[in-house]
Amino acid sequence: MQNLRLQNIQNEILKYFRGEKFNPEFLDAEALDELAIYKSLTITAFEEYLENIFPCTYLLIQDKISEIIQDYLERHLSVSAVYYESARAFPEFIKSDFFQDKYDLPNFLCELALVEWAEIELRNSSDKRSQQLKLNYPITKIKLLMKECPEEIDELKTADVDKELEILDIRQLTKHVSQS
Amino acid sequence: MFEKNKLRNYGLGLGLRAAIQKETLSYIKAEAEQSCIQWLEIVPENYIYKPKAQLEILKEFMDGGKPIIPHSVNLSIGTAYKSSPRENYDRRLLEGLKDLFKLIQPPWFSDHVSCTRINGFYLQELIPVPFIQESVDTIVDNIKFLEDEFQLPFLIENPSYYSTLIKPEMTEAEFLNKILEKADCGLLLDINNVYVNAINHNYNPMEFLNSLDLSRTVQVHIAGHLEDYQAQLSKRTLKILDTHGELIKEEVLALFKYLLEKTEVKAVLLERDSNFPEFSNIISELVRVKGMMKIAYC
Repeated sequence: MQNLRLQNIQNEILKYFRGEKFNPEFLDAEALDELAIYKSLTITAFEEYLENIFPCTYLLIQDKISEIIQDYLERHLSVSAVYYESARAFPEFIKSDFFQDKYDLPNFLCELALVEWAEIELRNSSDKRSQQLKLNYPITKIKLLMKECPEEIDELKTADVDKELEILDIRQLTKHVSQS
Repeated sequence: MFEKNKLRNYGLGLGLRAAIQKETLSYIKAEAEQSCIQWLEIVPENYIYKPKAQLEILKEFMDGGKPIIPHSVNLSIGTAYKSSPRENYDRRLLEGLKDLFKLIQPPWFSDHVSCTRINGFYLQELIPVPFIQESVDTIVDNIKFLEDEFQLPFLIENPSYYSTLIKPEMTEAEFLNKILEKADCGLLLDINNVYVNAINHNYNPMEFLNSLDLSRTVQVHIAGHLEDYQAQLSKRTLKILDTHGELIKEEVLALFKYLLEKTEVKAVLLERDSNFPEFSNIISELVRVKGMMKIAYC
């Protein structure tokens, strides 16, 4: 292969971006520290993007956002040239055992992200038929609550001990919204 | 064969970005012939695989007489292919771009000398390519493939870079010159990137311009940058980060003036991608750049 050296270097770059063990034969420590600048930039850009695409989900994860994005991008590098599609797997990532084990966040988070992504898909799709999502949580009410009572967001974050209790808590909170 | 003199002059343009789309259109409609914005640049990857409504926006600008010129971020001309560029390229992307180009009929297309896709995965950043002969040969093959595929002249942009990855076999200017000559393509000279790289890698930006084959410069990018950037995952502090999110610095404008004295360019673009100010501030910058172009070419 005429470009084997370049292929090897780029394979190591890919490994670095995916958080995999790399071969120091092709890239030294200095180069890796410089590549860290690029990796940091992808995290920063993706954070801005997530805030736009998943505004409510973002509010619930923003304390750990850099770590979550790094974990996401290492596991779900996009195969699409279109930037907006790079977040397609984000709801699935939230649902994963890895995420659930590592991050102590509300159980409804995945459904919230699914709904927000569905809204984006609907906006960008030429097929305007509505999607049917089977949801266990009152996501529309949760979104309304987050929009109208942002001071309740911390309560939402901690209301995740038991699914039943969580739903009750949310119902109480949404009742509060409808009364206010 | 690359023939710069067959390309028409487009004058001054602005990057069409979602955040300023409405203001840009209102300004163009209100100012008509007096508008500082003579053409618009788009990141074509933002306009593919989208519904017609998205393309209607472009048509509205085109109906107003403004040419649209694409500047890609994901053609990844620095990616090492395994057997051939044709086998390596993302067909979905190429077909999407072809459909878009049919609509906008661009005079040329361009992308950065960088690698954004490896083994099918998009890294979402302009990863540098080492200044080695293997990179030159790879990039040249990729450009020839793309020009053949799209039947349009291709321009390479000199990127800002924060790493050379490995020990270079040649200087940055030699690297770019070799690509320009072997691929027989045009140059999109990002004058802000020249300045950013000169400061970050300790060289004289004017000497860099003197050593570059400027006769192939078709388009120029001019933009602002951020000083003293600390990346969260790196131990380094960058002297300058290329952000396109600040006002153009005087030093960059001085380099732009120097460039205009040395060569004729066909199109100049103000790049503003983030941290958008009041639209009137963007217009003020355009007015200033336009004034410099008028002095240089009168």
